[in-house]
This record gives sequence, structure tokens and C-alpha cells, in this order.
Amino acid sequence: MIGIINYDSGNLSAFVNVFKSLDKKTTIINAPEELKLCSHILMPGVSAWDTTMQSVNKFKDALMTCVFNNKVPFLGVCVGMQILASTSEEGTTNGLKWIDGNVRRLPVDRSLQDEYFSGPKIPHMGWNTLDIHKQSDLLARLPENPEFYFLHSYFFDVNKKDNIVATANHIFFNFPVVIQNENIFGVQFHPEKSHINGKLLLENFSNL
Amino acid sequence: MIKMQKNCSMLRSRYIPVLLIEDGELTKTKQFEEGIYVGDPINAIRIFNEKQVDELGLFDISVTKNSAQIDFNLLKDIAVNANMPLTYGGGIKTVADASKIISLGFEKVSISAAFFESPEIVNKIAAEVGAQSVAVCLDVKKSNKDYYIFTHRGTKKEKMSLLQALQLLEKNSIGEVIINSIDRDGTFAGYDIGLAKIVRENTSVNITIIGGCKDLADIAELESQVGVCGCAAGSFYTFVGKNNAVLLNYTKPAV
Repeated sequence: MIGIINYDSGNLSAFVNVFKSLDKKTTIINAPEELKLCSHILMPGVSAWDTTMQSVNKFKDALMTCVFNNKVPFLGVCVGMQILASTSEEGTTNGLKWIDGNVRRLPVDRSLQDEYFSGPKIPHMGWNTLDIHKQSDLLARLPENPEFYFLHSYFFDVNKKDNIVATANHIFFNFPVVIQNENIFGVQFHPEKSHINGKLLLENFSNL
Repeated sequence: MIKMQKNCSMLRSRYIPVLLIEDGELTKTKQFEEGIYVGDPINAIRIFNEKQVDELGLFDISVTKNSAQIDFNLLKDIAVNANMPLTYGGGIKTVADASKIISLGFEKVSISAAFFESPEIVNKIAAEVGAQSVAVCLDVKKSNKDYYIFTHRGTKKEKMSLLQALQLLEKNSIGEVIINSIDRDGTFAGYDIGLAKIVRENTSVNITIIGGCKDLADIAELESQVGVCGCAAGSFYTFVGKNNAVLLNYTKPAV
């Protein structure tokens, strides 16, 4: 049973729909004690940092038991991935510190932007391709440079190269978009809104 | 212009069908006049799901004008059926409205009339849902070479000029400016490239342009003039053939 954590932050139904189409059972987790029923844990995220962290903190102890003691596969999406960091420039609350690094605002180099014909802007919004640096079961069966839907102004500045599975490029800046530390995974994009590639990724997760 | 390496991660433009809702039904207007019925919203969502569209814009054009309530039940049904990025606009006045729509499963909310009533509303919404999820939509009409902004389904002319609005938006926390040309709406006359360029030059956030698109050549022209952006269309993705038969469709430029 894939547990999807509900912290009033939206887009749960999109995940439920994808897993349903894959014949995978899901349950919406409203209270920490419900986590022990789960074979997989998914943390969605469409929100600002502080709003997210305040809601996540009530799940923190139960999550640590599942993820660190019982090695349950965990997938954080967008802000749900960023909260794995220590801190964020978007807010003041401390993160979970599960993967070494901090969340920073995407840099805006005006001179490069001008040369690149005004070009893409902040936030990083829309469909971008991935550069995959490391083999991961999460990305099995995906094309070489798979395309996913992004919507964010902040990125996870990961300290250890080992934790970086894939990066994306925006305005000549590369940043991690798939990260992993053993059974802990994070993706900066929205697999639940990324059609076939997103469906494959979520299926891979459910097969871990 | 710097050449990007091939096979390197790179953002591309978004090709966005836009659907208009009026009293729970889909409608398509021409220059904001009374629209014609083009179908049922949930059915349209299913069709665009199957077509794997980049993003979908939904605007309820009756809420603000009629001082009605946002149809949250309809939005919920739409979100449950959608596996693609969604933007909603129409009658959002408060942080609570915006939060609720995001929590239903929409990626972005689009603000229009409320911004002109009190511009700081966008910052308040951004603090709650994140600036990346806040768009401001400007319905623009040209008159004597100048562009003017309208709200309330094109019936209320705002005092702020287009440039003033864009400058003010630069100081606010938003992720996207959506520009809708009232003159080109439903006309198949091509995008107003001059308008798009003014907006691109005066905005540091993402832009999405709508109004007038008739084919992929119009989209290519827009991209060649303003770079990577949101290329949105209503009629182009709603009608087919010279008699404008209603048939939701989706094509986008080849990569």
C-alpha cells in the first residue's frame, strides 16, 4: 500500500489517479500512526516552504521510524523533495536534514538572459529534459533524456555528488532534479503531471 | 545569442489549450462577445488528458462579472480527472480562494480583477502557495496605438496602463503574466506580436500569450519573436475545418 501524505497541500488526486491506472493501491495518510500500514511513502508538494514544513513536522517521528528503521521507500515531490534539506532560502523553518544540502533560490544571471534572447525566466516553469548522471531504479525504462513538468523558483543545492541522480539546466545553470540516498528519493518536477514519463517513474517507485 | 548544446537539458515553450467556462458549460467567445457552447468541461478534460497536453488553462468568465461564487465543485471534478498541469482563473478574490483551488489539485491560480482592487493580494497569495503558483492575467485591448487593460469579462476598463501594470507586477511575487488580447480573441488573426514583445521586454517572469492563434505557424512566429514562452490558444484547439466544427484537438510544434 502506497501512503500519500496529506498535509492540505493539494494534488493528491493526481497521484491517486496515476497509481489507480497502474493497479496499485494507495491510501491517504492523515495521521502519523497510519504510516505503519505503508509499503511506500510519497510526500507531494505544491506550497511554500514554511507552510509545508509546519505540516510535515507532525509526521516527522513516524516518518523517521519507517524510512530509517524499516527502510520503507520514500519519494518527495517538488517541495516534498526540498524538505529533505537542512534549510531553505524560501523560509525560516528547519528542514528534515535527510539529504545533505540546502535549498536556494535559482540564480538569475541577467546578462546571460539578455543574450539568450530574453528567453526563459524564473520560476522554472514548463517542460524540461533531464541529464541523467547515475543509474537508479527510479528512472528505469525511461528514455535517455526524459521530459518532465517543472514549476519552482528554488532548487536543492545537494552537497554530496553521490546523492545526485539527474540534473536539469535552466538559464545556463545545472541543478539536481532527481536525488537519492539509499531508500530516500526526491524529484523536483511533478511526475503526477508529466504524462507517460511520470507514470513510468511512479510505477518504478511502486516496484521498489 | 548563445547556442545551446544539443542533447543538453533545456526548457521549451509550453503549448496550452485554454477553455472558458460560463455557468458550468464550456463556451468560446469572439472578441469577448457572447460565446457559443462548445461542450462539457469534464469531457474536455478527459480528451486533453489523452492528448497529453503540456498544460491546460481554465477560466470561468462569468464569476467576476456576475458577482457569483467560484464553482469549487466543478473545479474539484476537473482536478480529479486531470493528469496535466492546470491553471484556474475567474473570481479569485482572497487567499482562501487561492489556497482552496491549489489544494484541489491546480498548479497555478490566475488573478485579474482582484489585483486591480488591491495589488498586494498577489503577495499574500504567494506567501501561502508560493510565487511560482501565482499568475496574473491581463485582458488587453488596443486603442489608438495604446494598450488598455479590462476586467469583468472585458466590461470594466482599468485606470492602470499596461506598462504601469507590468511595472507594478515586477515588484510583486508572481510566477507568470498571462496576456489575453481582446481584439484577437476568437478571430484566428494571429497573435498580437507587438503586444507580446512589449510584455516580454517589461517582465522578468514567465509570460503566456493568448488571442488570435490560427495554426502552428502563428506559434512559431510568437516563439521566434519572444523566445521560450507559453503559447496559448482557445479557438485553435477547439475548432476544426473551414466551418469551425467543434472538435477539441491538440497539435504542437515538433521538437
